[in-house]
Amino acid sequence: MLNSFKSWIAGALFVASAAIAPSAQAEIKVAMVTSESGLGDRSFNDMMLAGMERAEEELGAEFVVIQPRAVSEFQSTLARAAGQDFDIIIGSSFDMIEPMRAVAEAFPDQAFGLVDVGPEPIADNVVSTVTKDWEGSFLVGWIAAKETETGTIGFVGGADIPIIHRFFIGYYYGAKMANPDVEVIETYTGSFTDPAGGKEYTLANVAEGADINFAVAGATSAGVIDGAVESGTFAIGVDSNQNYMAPGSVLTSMVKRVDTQAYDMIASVADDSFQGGSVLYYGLAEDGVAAAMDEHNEGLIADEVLAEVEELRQKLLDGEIVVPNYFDLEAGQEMMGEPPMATPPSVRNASEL
Amino acid sequence: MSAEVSVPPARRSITASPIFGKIAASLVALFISFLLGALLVLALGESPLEVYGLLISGSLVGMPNFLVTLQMMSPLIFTGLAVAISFRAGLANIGAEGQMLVGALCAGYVGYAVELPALIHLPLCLLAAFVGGLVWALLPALLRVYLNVNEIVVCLMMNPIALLLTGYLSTRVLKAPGPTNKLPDIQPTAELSTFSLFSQANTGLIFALVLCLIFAVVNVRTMRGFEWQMIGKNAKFAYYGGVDVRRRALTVFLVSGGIAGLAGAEQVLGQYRAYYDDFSPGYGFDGIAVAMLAQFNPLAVPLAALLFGALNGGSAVLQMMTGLSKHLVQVLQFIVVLVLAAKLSWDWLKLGRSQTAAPGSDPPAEGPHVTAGDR
Repeated sequence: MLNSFKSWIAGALFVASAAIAPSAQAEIKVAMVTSESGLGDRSFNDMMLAGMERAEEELGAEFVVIQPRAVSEFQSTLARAAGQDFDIIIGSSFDMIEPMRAVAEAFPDQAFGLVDVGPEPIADNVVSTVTKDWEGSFLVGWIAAKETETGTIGFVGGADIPIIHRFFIGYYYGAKMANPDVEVIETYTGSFTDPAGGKEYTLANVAEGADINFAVAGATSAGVIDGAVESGTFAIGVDSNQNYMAPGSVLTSMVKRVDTQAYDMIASVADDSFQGGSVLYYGLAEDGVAAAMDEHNEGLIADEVLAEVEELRQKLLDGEIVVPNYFDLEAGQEMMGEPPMATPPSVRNASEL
Repeated sequence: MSAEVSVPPARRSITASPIFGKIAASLVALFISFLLGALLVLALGESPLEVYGLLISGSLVGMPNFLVTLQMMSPLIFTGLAVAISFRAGLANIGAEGQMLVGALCAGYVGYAVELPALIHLPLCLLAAFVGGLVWALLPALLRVYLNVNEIVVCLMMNPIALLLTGYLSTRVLKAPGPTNKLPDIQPTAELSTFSLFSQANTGLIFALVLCLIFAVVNVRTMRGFEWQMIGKNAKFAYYGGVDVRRRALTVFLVSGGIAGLAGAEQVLGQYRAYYDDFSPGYGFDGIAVAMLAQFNPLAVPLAALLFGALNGGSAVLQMMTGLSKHLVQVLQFIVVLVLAAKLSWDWLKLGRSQTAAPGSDPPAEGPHVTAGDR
């Protein structure tokens, strides 16, 4: 038995050294490091994979997916990947910021990318992205105002905090642009992990006439979708495509296109335009956000509404429309955005933001 | 009469051969599982030699890889030891996962909420984790020892309760500001120091190895260790031999829970530097497999943990080099567990049930609190 073990190890060393030698001359080698939830999450990891597949198809990139089992494995995984000759290593997760910074500083010649994190640069050789969620919210607010039959739409946020207010401002601005007469109900459950509360708030909004509710509430969103099913109204999902959670009851989802963001990083390596240390903003114009359309919400949104989305995109690209960012607003401000529109009461009547 | 004559040689064979027999048994089980795994890899259209080669080189060859293996094996030594000492005493503490989570939360809380010099703070955090794990083991232990309620069922139920309880506390009550569900970072005075950029392996590993050594000595060289083994082998015999079965069983169960709690301390103080909600990919359950492979011997636990740590450590390299999924490595691990389980049940069938009678069963129930023979 000992002998067989020895021969394994001998064979192993041989094979390993063969594997480490540069293999077939692919254009670009990419390593994607998932968050701990891994592939099959129907969320960011799966969407990133779609970006990899697109890069494989269109850029001839070769990629591998590395799935750490726990947050504690992020740093060692990134460090060991940096020791191989990948052209870029791409990750996604707030929890990967610190590990990636440490590893990137130790491997200054290795290109890294991290999607959908904060506005602070991570390191000189890391490109990171920020998703303009307020533009995505603008888009679904606009769709909701076009699709509502009661003339009232709702917003169910998790905690009552600025980062969630940013979604609301975009949503409100989009809704008012589509239809100045639409009513927008603003509610916060106070928790991101309370589906039961999400359902209560949704049913309360429905009782006030809202027939579409935008859920920006983490796990609480499941309750918003539940409430939509129970009351025969619609919910709008957030971050990843949640249309599948209740086919026919989820009007659409405001998705962060992490696939586009990852693909662009690979493309920048391919054409040598990779700018380490930069932070890229992804909005509607950059295809960084979208209203998810799939078999689960087919036919729920009128074709002419969808056709107008492309016009909106063009206007954002031309700067004709500027969606207000909550963090730029001041308490008591009356008008916001471009074209200017009235701020919601929660801003206009506030003494501080 | 001839039976009596043959006693000495038989005794010699009992003392000499078990070590080799046991090692051989574990190696055979491993060999069989690797063969089965190789068949599986072949069925996937990959070369078993390449896959095992990458797993071995990616876990043991080169300092970064080896350090990652050390990182992966650290929690498994704690949970493996916890399970091993309970099983050796005939108690199936399969609640190590939950005990680890509660221990981790306690360490994480004391780690950030208390300000003390490192010399006191670190031991205090370890103690908190030990107590946390112990408390989480208290309910199944009491039910088992005093009411003879099956500890497997209770432990299995305590695991999700621990996950949900720690989840509630870390996402609602004690949550640090920010997008991640975690407690605030621990103070530097509570940290177990790490050695390398490539790995979160930390001084907790040394602590784990020392614990294994301590329990190896306790098991073989002390009265308590002997009594623990005796109640595991035959509780009735131990009872009539004068062992306070209930108290010994309770102690073992609680110590086992405490050690599982220490696994959580290693994670929080050494690897994460804060309590993260739902951080464990199942170290408590892997600990059962580690303990089985080690045949409940504390000295063999680090070796078994090394094997599982290496499989997990090599997994990332395998994924980098071949594009195979992490799930393959998990399946390879489960095959090891399956073969070991088959071996255990085979032993059980061979020996018959009488020998596997566990403590807390009939004898103590017959009389009132029996401590007469307690030495």
